[in-house]
Amino acid sequence: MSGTAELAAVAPSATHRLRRPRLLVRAVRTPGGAAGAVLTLVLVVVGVLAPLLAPTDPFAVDGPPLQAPSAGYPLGTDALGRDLLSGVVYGARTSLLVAASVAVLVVVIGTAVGLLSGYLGGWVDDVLMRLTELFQVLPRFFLALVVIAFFGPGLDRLVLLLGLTSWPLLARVIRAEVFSLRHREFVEAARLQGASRTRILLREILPNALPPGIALLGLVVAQVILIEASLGFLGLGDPNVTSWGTLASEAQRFLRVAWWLSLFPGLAILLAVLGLNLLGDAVTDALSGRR
Amino acid sequence: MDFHAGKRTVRAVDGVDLEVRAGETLGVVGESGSGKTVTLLAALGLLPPPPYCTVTGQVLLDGRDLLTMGRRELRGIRGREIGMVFQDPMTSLHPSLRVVDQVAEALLVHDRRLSAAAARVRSLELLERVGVARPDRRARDYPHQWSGGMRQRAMIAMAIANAPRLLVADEPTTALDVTIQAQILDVLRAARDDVGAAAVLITHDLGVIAELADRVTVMQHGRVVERAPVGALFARPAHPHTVTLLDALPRLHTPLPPRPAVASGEPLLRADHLVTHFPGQGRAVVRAVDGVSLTLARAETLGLVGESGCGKSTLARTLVRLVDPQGGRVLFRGLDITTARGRALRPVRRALSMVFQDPYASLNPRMTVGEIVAQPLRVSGTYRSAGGPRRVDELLDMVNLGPECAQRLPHEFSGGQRQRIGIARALALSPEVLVLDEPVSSLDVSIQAQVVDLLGRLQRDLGLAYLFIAHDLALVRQLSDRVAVMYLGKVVETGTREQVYELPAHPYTQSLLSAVPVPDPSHRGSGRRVLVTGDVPDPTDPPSGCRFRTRCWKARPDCAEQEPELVVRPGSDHPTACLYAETERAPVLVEGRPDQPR
Amino acid sequence: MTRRYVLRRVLQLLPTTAVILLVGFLLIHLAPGDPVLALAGENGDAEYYAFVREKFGLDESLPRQLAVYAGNVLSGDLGTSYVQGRPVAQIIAERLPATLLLTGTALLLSTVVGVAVGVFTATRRRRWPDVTVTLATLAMYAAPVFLVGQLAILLLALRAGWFPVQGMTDARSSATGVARALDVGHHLVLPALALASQEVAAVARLARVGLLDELARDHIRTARAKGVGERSVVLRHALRRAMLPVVTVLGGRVGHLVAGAVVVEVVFGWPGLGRLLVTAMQARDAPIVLGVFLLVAVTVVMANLLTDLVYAWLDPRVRYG
Repeated sequence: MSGTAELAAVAPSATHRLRRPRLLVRAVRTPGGAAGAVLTLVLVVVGVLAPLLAPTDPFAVDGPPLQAPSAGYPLGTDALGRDLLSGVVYGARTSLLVAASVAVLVVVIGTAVGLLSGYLGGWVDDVLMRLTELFQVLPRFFLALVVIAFFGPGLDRLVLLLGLTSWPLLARVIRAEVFSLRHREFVEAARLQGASRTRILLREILPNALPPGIALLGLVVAQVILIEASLGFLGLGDPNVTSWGTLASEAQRFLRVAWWLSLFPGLAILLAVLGLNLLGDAVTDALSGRR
Repeated sequence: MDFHAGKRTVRAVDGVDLEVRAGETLGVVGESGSGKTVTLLAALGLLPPPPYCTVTGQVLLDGRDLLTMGRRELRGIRGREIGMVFQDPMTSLHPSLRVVDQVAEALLVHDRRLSAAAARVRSLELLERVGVARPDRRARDYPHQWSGGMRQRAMIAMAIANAPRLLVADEPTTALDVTIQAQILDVLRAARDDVGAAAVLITHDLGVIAELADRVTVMQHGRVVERAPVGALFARPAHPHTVTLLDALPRLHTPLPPRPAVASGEPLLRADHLVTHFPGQGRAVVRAVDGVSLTLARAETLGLVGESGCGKSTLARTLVRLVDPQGGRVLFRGLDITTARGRALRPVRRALSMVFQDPYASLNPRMTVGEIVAQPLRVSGTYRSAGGPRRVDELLDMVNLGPECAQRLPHEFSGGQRQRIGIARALALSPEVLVLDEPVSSLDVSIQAQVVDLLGRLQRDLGLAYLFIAHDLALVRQLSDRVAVMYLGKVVETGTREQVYELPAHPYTQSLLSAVPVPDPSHRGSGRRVLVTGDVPDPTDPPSGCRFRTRCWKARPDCAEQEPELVVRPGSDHPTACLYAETERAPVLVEGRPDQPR
Repeated sequence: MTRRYVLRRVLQLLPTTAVILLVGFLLIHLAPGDPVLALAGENGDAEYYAFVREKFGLDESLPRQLAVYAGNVLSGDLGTSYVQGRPVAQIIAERLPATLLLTGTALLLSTVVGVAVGVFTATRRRRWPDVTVTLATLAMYAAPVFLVGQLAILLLALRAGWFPVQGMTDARSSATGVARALDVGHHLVLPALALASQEVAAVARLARVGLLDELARDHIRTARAKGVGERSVVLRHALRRAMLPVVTVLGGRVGHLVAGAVVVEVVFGWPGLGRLLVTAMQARDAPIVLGVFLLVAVTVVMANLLTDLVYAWLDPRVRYG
C-alpha cells in the first residue's frame, strides 16, 4: 500500500465507526466553506425578503440626487435621487431569481445529457457530445448581447438563454462520473440481479453521479450572476427590475463625483459571487476527500 | 542506522524504534494501517511537512540525524546513500519522461561532473544489470510502454545507481503477479548483494520476509509488537499478533484437512469451449477467454487460478451472463443459457450469484446496507414473499452482522465487513452457485481468514457450489475440491487439488507453484525454483500453438505449430495442455532462457 | 501528434461554424419585425429597402435565403452599416487592432502572472504568503470586471493621476512612431490590468490546484527519493503536467476575455470592437452587431481547436497511445 494510501487508511479506521456527517455539513466545517455558506445564505435571505428589508421602493425618487452615504441614505443616492440601499437589496432579489432559474435549467438539461451520454455510450454519446461541445463553444455573453439587440431586453429571455447555454460543463462532469460508475462493481451487481437499465440509471448511477455536478453548480451560477451583471452594466438589463449591473452602469457617467454608485453594487456582486464560489469549492473538496 | 519515529494529529506511528545494521536485511511486516510505510517515509523526510505531518524522534544514519539535517544535506543522502524502491510501478515513474532519462537523473543529481551522455551509458548498463533485455533498443521508451515487471526493474536500477549503503523497499512486489514477483525478488536480492547494502524490506507478505530478511520487526496499529531474528520469529512467535498473522496464512506445503466428498452426477454449471473477446486498442481484439471448458457440481468448490490478464474475471462474468460470449456454450442444469436474455434468464439469476472483489466498489455508497442486501429481492419482485425486513435480518445474521447494520451506510464498515455484506446480498435469493471473483484479495490476511471461514461454513450449511477465483495459490488450495489453472485465456491444467498441487504437470503450473515465496526461512537457499523469464505476451496477439511457449524452458519447435489440447497425457493422471507434460514431485532448478524470438 | 487526430479536430470546425451562421441567420429572421428593417434600419426609403431585399434574397424561400446569407458571409461581405454607410467588414477591420491589443495583452499577462502566482502559492502551502495571496485571488475572481475597472480609474487615474482616464491615445497629441506607441502603452495599462484581473485569479487557481495534485503523485515522491532538489522537482517533473488544466481552459478563457473586453472598453472608452458593438446596439445597427458576433464566435471556436491540439501535444500518452 502506498504511503499516502496508508495515511488515508489509518485516519478513517480510527473513526469509521462513527456516523460521518452529511456532505454539506462537512463542507461547511472548513473556514472557506463556512464563509461561503454564510454569504450565500445572506444572498438568499436578502433576495427573498427584499420588500421587507429595503427602506423604500428602489424606483421611487426619494431624496436629493447624488448624495454621499449618510444616516438617512446609508449607501447614498443616485442621479435621480433614488436610494441606493434599496436598489442593492432589490438587486439581490433579481440576481437570486436569475441564479435559481438558471440553476434549475442547467441541472435538468445537464444531468439528462450527462446521464444518457455516459450510460448509453455509442452513437448517443457521440451525438450528445457534439451537441455539448457546440453549446460550450458558443460565446454566451455575445449571444446574449445579440439576442437582446434583436429581441429587446427582458429577464425571461435572459434566463432562457443562459439556462440553455450554461449546461455543458455540468453535463461533462456528470458524464465523466457516469463513465467511472458504469463499470463499478455495485452496478454490475445490480445488472446481475436483472435490474432494468432504467432502474440502474436512476437508482444506482444518478444518486452517485449527481453530487459532483451539484458542487459545480455553485460555480456555474456565480458565473451567471456575473454575466447578468455585465449585461446590466452595458445597459442591456431588464428595465423593469433593479439589478446590480444596471446600478453600476449609471455609475459610469458619474464616476468622478459619486464613487458610491460604483462601489456598493460592485461590492454586492463580489460578495455574492465569492460566497457561491467558496461554497462550491468547499463542497467539491469535501467530495474528493471522501473518495 | 536506526530510527525512532513520531506522530501526526491522528497518531499514525507511536514510539517506533527500528534498527538496521550494516549488511543485514531488516524486514518490517504488518497489515494495512500498521504504520510501516509511514514510518519509513517519515524517516526519509518524504511526508508532507507540518501542519500535515509532524515527526518527532531521531533518525540516525551513522550517527547523523536525518530529521534535523539541512535540506541540501538530506538531498545528498537520498538517492546516494539510501536508495528507495516503491510499491506501485505503474505510478512511480514519471509518465512524461523517458525511462532511461529517469535512471540517468539518479546519477546526474549526485554527480555534477558526469556528462549527460555518460550518464545515459551508465543507465543502460544499470538496466541491463537488473535484467532488462536489450535496453539500448528501448532507450526512447516512455514508462507506459513497459510492463509492470520491467518498470520495477527500472526502479531498482535507479535505487542502486549510486551504490547506496542502505536499500529501502516498500512493498516492492505487491502489485506484481506471482511469477513476476519471483523475478523481481531475485533482482532485488542480487542488487543488494552486488552493492553490499543493508536493506529494509517493508511488506505484508510473510513469504517475502522469509526469503530475504535477516531480522524482522512486526508492527501493529503504529507500534512495534515484536522483534526477532527471522528464524526465531517463524519458529517461536511471541506476540499474539504475530501468532495471528502466521496462523491465518494459507500455506502451500502443509497437510490439508479433508473435504467432504462431492456428489457425482449432472454438473450444475458447465462451460463448453467458451470464447469471449473484447475490442482492444484500435482494431485489435483481446482474446480474454479463448476456448475454456469446465464443470461445477453441486456443493463443490472449483478453484480457478491464474495471474492478471489470464481471463479468469472475464470467464466469471461470462458464466453469470454479465458478458456475452462470442462462442461456445454455458449450461446451467443442462439448460443452454449462452444467449439467453431478460425473462429467459430469470431462473438462472436466482440460482447463480456473484461476490465481487473490491469491497469499496461493490456496494452502492448511497444505499443503506439493508437496501443493498434486499436489492436482489426487490428486483425480482420477491421481497414481500420472502419475508421483507425479516429476510434481510436473516441474511445479515448469516454473515455474522447484527440487524442494526441494516440502517447504516457502507462507508461506516471495514473492508472485511463490506465483503460480508456483499456475501449476504449474494445469498438473498438462495442461490445454488456462487461465483467469487477474488473475494478476499483486498483484505488483510487476518481478516481474510475470517471471511474464508465464513464461506466454508456457508457452503456446508447451505450446500452451495463455489467457483472460487483467486491468484493466491495457497488460499485456493485450502478451499477447493478441484482446481483449474488459466493462462492467457485458456485452461492449461485441471484436476483435483491434490493432483494439481502435488503433481503439477504443466510447466506453467510448476513455475507458478515454485514462485510463491514460502513463509519458512529454513526453506531459503534449499528452495529450488523454476524461473519463468519475460513477461506475459500481448493478449491481442497471443503466440501461435501453445501460448506459454515463449516463456517455457521446455519449448520445442512443434510447440509453435499445434495448440495442445486439455487432455490426460502420458506422464500424468489429470488433463494438461502441454505436449511435454511431466509430473515432477518437487520443482527443479532450471535456468530460465532469455526471451526467444517467435 | 497523429495527422488523423488533427484532421478530425479541424473537420469538427465545420459544423460548429455552420451552426454559428445559422444562429445569426435565425436571429435576423426570428426577431420581431420585418427583417428588412433589421438589416437596413428604419429610416431608409423604399428604393433602398428594395435593394436590400434583393441583395439578401428576402423574398425567396428560407433555405435559399440561408444560402445567400452564408455565401455573403463566407466571402467576407458582412453587410453594410446603414448608420455609417460603410461596409461592416471595413468598420470591423478598423476597430479590430485595438481589441486585439487589449485582449492579447490581457491574455499574456493573466497567463504569466497567473501561473507564477499559482506556483508560488502551491509551493508555500498553508503558510502566510499562500493564505493572503489566495484570499486576494479569490476576491479578484469574484469581482466583476467593471468594478475593477472603475475602481482602478477612481484610485489610480483620478486620485493618483498616474494613468489616463479614458481612451487609447491622448486625443490632443499628434505623436507618431515610438512616442505614439508609448502613449498607447500608457493608456493600455489600466484597461489591460482590469481585464486581466479576473483571469489572473482563474489561472492562478487552476495552476495551484494542478500543481498540488501533481506534487502529490507517486512519481514525484520517487524523484524526491532519488535526491532531486525541490526546485527541479517542481519545474522539471511537476510543472509540465500540472499546467495541463491551465491549457485545457485556454479556449474558454479567450471567450471570457473577449466578453470582458466589451465591458472594459466601455469603462475606459477604449476604441475597440466592444465599444463598437455597444454603440451599434444603441443605434440599432444590426449588421454591425451581427458581424461582430460572427467574428467573435468563430474566433472562440478556433481558440478551442488550438487548445485541443496543444493539449494533445503536451501529453505523450495521447500521442503515442
